[in-house]
Amino acid sequence: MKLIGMIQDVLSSMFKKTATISYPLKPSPPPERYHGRLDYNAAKCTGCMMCTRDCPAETIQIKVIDRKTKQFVMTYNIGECVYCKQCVFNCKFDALHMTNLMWESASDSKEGFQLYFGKKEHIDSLLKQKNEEPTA
Amino acid sequence: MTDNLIDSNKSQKYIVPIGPQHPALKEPGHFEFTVEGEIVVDASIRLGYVHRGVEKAAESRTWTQVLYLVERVCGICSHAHGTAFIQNAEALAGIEIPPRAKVIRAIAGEIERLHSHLLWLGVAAHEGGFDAMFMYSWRDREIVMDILENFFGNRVNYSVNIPGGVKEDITPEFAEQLRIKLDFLEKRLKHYLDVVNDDVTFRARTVNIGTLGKEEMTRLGATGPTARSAGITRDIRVDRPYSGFDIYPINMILDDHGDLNARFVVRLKECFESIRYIRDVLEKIPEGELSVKFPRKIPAGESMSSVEAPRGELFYFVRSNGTENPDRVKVRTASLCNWGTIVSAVAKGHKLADMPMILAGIDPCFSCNDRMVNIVGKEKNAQLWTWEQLRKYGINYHAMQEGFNVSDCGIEQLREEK
Amino acid sequence: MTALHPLFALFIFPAGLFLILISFFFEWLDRKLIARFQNRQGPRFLQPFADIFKLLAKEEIVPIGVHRTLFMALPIFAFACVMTASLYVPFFGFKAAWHIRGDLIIAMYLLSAMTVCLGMAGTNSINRFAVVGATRTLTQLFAYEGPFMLALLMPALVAQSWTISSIADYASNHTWMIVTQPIGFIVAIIGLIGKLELPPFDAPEAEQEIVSGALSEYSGRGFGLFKIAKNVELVIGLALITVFYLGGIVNPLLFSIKMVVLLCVIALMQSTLTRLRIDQTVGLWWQAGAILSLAQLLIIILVRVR
Ligand code: SF4
Ligand code: SF4
Repeated sequence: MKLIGMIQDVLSSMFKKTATISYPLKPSPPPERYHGRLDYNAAKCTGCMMCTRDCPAETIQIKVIDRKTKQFVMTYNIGECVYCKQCVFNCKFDALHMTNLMWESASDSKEGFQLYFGKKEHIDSLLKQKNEEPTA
Repeated sequence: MTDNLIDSNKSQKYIVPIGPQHPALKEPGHFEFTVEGEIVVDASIRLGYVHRGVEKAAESRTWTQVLYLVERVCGICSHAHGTAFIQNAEALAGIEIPPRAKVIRAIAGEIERLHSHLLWLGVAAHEGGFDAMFMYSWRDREIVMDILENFFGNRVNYSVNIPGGVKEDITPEFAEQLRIKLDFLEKRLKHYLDVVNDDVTFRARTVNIGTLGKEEMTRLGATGPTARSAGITRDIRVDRPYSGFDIYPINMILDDHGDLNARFVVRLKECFESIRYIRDVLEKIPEGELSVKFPRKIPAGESMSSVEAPRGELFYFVRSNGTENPDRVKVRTASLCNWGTIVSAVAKGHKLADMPMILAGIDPCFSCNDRMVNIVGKEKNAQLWTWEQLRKYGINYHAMQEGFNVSDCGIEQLREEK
Repeated sequence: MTALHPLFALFIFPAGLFLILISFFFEWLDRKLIARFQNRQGPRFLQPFADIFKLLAKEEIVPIGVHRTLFMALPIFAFACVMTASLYVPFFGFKAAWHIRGDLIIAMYLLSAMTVCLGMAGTNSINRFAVVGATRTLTQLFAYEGPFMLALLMPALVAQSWTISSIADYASNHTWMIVTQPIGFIVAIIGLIGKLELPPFDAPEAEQEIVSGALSEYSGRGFGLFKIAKNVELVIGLALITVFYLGGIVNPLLFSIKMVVLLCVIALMQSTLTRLRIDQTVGLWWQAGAILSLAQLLIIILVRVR
């Protein structure tokens, strides 16, 4: 049997379950430490912009609307993000967190990956600004 | 008529091209094998299909951003690239990282070695048409990938490093998980070593194939497992121990056959050594901080560092000019050092059927390969061109193509004025 | 089976359509078994059918520089060869659709003709991979053909007939020849693997070196026909070995089980062995294969003379 090295594996695998994971039918949950979508806590943010400075993908942005009342809009594109977690380490105020969510993201355009965190009216006004820009 | 077709005096070259798109190579590289029947009589190589200008791109990024950029030079030894770069940066900044961070870096490096060697085992077996080994070794590699995913958050570019230390800690629970998985892996690897050593058909394809002696290997500058398979004692982890390996040393694995089988054996035995190392070190990780503060600006200076990547010596040169960005980053990867052993020495005289396995034998990584090389030889057909010369040559060339005289349009002056 | 109209026998059953469908099943089984041996899941049941359907629907690209007619005709010719050969072979416990004296030789030469077609297809297309592949195909043909033929002729010698049907009759009424001629059986089954260019004898189409060997330039219909021809060849080979060595014509169920067992053995070899280089293949056949089958032949002759 030694001369045909793999025969043992091959024969025993007939009686084993396949190693294949039937993925969409059987969802495999991401591990706890998995780098997934960022989470942003506006209440803790100070608008120091440290997170934007070292982002290798240059995708994370913080719009300061009012620093005093902690009105910020954080935007970032999960399609551009390389999930390096550098921004989380750069933030000295514990405002950013990495979750293990949204790792199965798919979209048919880049805009589909754009995420906004903040108050709804601010996001809307930001989006409106953006839409008006090309015409102006 | 027939004279034109068949010239009996001139033996016709029959070249079999492999790549840049070819089932044997999942990465772009171009090889031309001149064959006579089945025997390869000449080999040439062309690289550069995936040149991405990483070294240049590094100059316009901050030190931290470059860390993540160089991690992406190679998808398989991403940790080695990151470590080699950040060691330079830390040396220039005059930072000593905490011992716990050093050891975690070493552990991550060894896990990476496990995953790389298992990947290679599968690929090399597949190149020889041994698909069962390919499937099984990749199935078991999945365990290593899971370890990486669980510990460091990503499967491929796990970015363990952060300037000044490491990101994630190895907690006792993780250490326990790791031990269980390593036990299983060790059992499987033992089995693969048996297959490599005993299987008849597999031995028929690997023993005494692609043999290169110690002197030849040394002359051609092989590194890593390729060199160690011929008995060259060359392992950066032992010769110039860097982070972690200076605290807890690792052993060097050698074999003296220098053939394809020896490369399998060396890599598999290295996996055992890695497993042993991780196990030992998990027991005695020094306590302490994970990272220290890293300055944004780094004092001017130059630094070099080498890391033993899974494929061999990975070398980084970094120059700083005192700003937030590095002034120059130079990468020299292991695959590039090892090509010489194949193209100029091993290939000739072997069968065409052995070529894929011989190529895979050095564990080539094509994205690692696309670095610029200066060939400085005795023959004068290799030249160094400055940017100005290159520009002048380009202008002259295109002017000639268009058919006008360069001196007419005063380009020379233009150049001087600038 | 004489009641069947010859055209019916040729196009529908047992040759023709029925055989092609069965060959899909065997291809699927082969792939599935290998997948299971490698701890994978393997293809769905209709996968081979879908493959062929897609191929036949696709455009056939004729590369510049080839002999156009030959390029188009070779797949058809190869396909015709195996389909004709199948007429003489008793499948699944049914008697062969057709038999004439010496049809064993005819069937075997038709199967070889199919391999020669492959070789010609390779040399006809000027692709370098195809030419190297064709050279290997033909080299391999010379390597396994002798021993394989001897292995199939030995039952004929014992049965004292060159007609497949009478050998089958003989085999049904005597002990299984796998018991009386074990060496012949082993040579036959390994020869079949060589003939079908399956691993470990797949050097002629080793994708890591020469892409797809002789068929590198084929696409669409031509490739599809070659593929069907190969699948049918697999079924014919399995049926021949089953008839000769595993107890002749029995009821369809038992016969199919025997064929599937044979396929399991072939799949096992495919997944456990490393591909041999072409020189190793040739060496193995001429050193081991030929001598083994000659030894077996000698034994038979001695036994018969005595
Ligand atoms: S995880 Fe990395 S790439 Fe993503 S936003 Fe944070 S710093 Fe940028
Ligand atoms: S680093 Fe933290 S506190 Fe500063 S802007 Fe970013 S999220 Fe806000």
